[in-house]
Amino acid sequence: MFTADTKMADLVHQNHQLLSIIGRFDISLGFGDDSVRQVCEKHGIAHDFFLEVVNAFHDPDYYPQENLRHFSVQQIVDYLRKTHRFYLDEKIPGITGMIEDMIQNCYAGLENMDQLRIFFNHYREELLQHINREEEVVFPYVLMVEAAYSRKKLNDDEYRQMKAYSMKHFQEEHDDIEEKLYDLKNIIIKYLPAPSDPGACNRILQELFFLEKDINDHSLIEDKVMAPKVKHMEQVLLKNRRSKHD
Amino acid sequence: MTELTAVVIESSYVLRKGWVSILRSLDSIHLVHEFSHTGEFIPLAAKYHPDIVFLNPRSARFEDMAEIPAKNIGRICWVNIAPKPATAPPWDQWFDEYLPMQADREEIENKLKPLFSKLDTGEAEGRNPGLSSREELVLKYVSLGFTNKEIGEKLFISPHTVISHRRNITRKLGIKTVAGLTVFAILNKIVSPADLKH
Repeated sequence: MFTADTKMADLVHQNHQLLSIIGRFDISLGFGDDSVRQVCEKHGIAHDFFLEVVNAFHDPDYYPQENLRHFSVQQIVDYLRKTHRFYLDEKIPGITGMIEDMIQNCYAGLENMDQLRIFFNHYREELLQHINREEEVVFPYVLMVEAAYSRKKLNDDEYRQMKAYSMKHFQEEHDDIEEKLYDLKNIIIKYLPAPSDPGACNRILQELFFLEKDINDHSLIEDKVMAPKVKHMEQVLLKNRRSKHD
Repeated sequence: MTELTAVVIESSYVLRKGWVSILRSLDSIHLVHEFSHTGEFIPLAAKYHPDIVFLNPRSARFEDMAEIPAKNIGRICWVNIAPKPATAPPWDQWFDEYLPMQADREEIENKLKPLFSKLDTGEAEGRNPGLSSREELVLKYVSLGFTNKEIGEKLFISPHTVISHRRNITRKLGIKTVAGLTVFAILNKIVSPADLKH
C-alpha cells in the first residue's frame, strides 16, 4: 500500500498504469525524490484523496478507509469529472478506432463482424448515458449538499431537492458499466477466429483490460468514498433541520 | 451438438402426457413427439427420425416393431416405460433401459445420461463450448429478444428453468449481457443478423 511518505517516483515504478491517474490530477513528471505528500502539496491536492484513488487502483483488496476523509466532495467531483473526460476524449475514441482497424485488417471478408461494431457502439451509448447522468444530476447534487453542510444550514429549496434525489437513489441506480467490457474481452479472447494480425487484437485487449480496471476504480471511488461521505452530510443536515423545526 | 428427438408411445393419456412433460424439461432433448400406439408411429418413424423412443410394450404390437430396421433410420435407443417391469419374449431383448413409473427425477436423469452420451457424439465438434442443445436453443431465443416467460412458453419449460439455463450459458461462455450473447450467437451462426428484432 502506498502512503504519504512513498516517493512519487517509486509509486510509478511499482505500477506504471498509475501514470494515467497521476495525469488526471494535473501532476506532471519530474518528481525528483519528492514524496506523495510533497508532490500533492505543491499541486494543491489533498494527499489523502490521492492515496485513496491510487491504492484502490493498485491493490484489488484495498478498501477505502473511513478515517482518512480530510478532503472535500469538490475534490472528488473534480477528479471524477476529469476521469469522465479521459474516457470520452481519449479511451473511447482510441478503442473505437482500434476495433474498426481490427475488423477491417484482421477479419476482412469474415461475415457478421458488423455485430462487434454494433455491440461496441451500444456500449459507448451506455457509457455516455451513465456519464451524462452523473454530470447532470449526481455531481450538482453532491456539491449542493457539501455547500449546505459547510454553511451548516439546509434551506427549503435544498431540502426539496434532497427529498427528490439523494445518495440512496444514487446507490440504487448506480449500475454496472463494466459488464459489456468483460463480454467484449471474452468474445475477442475466446470466440473470434485467429486474427491475421494478432498484435492488433492484443492492443485492443490491453486497452479493454485497462479501461475495465479504470472504470472499476472510478466506481469504487463513487460508491465507497463519495457516497458514504455525502450520506453522512445528508444525515447531519436532516437531523439539524428536524431539531430546529421541533 | 446434436439435438435429440424423442418419441413417447403410451396409450394412457395421463402417463403419456406425464412422460412428455418430463422429457421436455431435460436439457439434452430438443423435440418430443407422442403416439398412443406403435401403429401410429411406424409410418412416421422415418420422418420424425427419433434418437430415443420411450415405449410401453402394452401399447405396441411386435409386428409393427419388426418393420423398424427396414425404415433405415439408424440407431435408436429404446426405453421401456411399462408401469410393471415384467417383459416377456419377444420384448426382453429389445430395450436399452427400463424406467419405472415410480422413478424420481434424479433416477430418470441418471438412467438416461449414459444413453444420451452414447447418442450424442456432437460434443466432439467443440464449436460451442459445452452448450447443451437445450442451452443453445435458449441462447437463440435470448438473442432474438424474447423474454424468459416467452422462451418458457416456446420450450414448454417454466421461466425458472429458463433462468437456470441462462445462468449456465453465462457460466460456460463467460458472457454476461444479452448484447454479448447475441454477438456470440451470430458469430456461431445460431441466429442470423436478419432475424434480430432490431
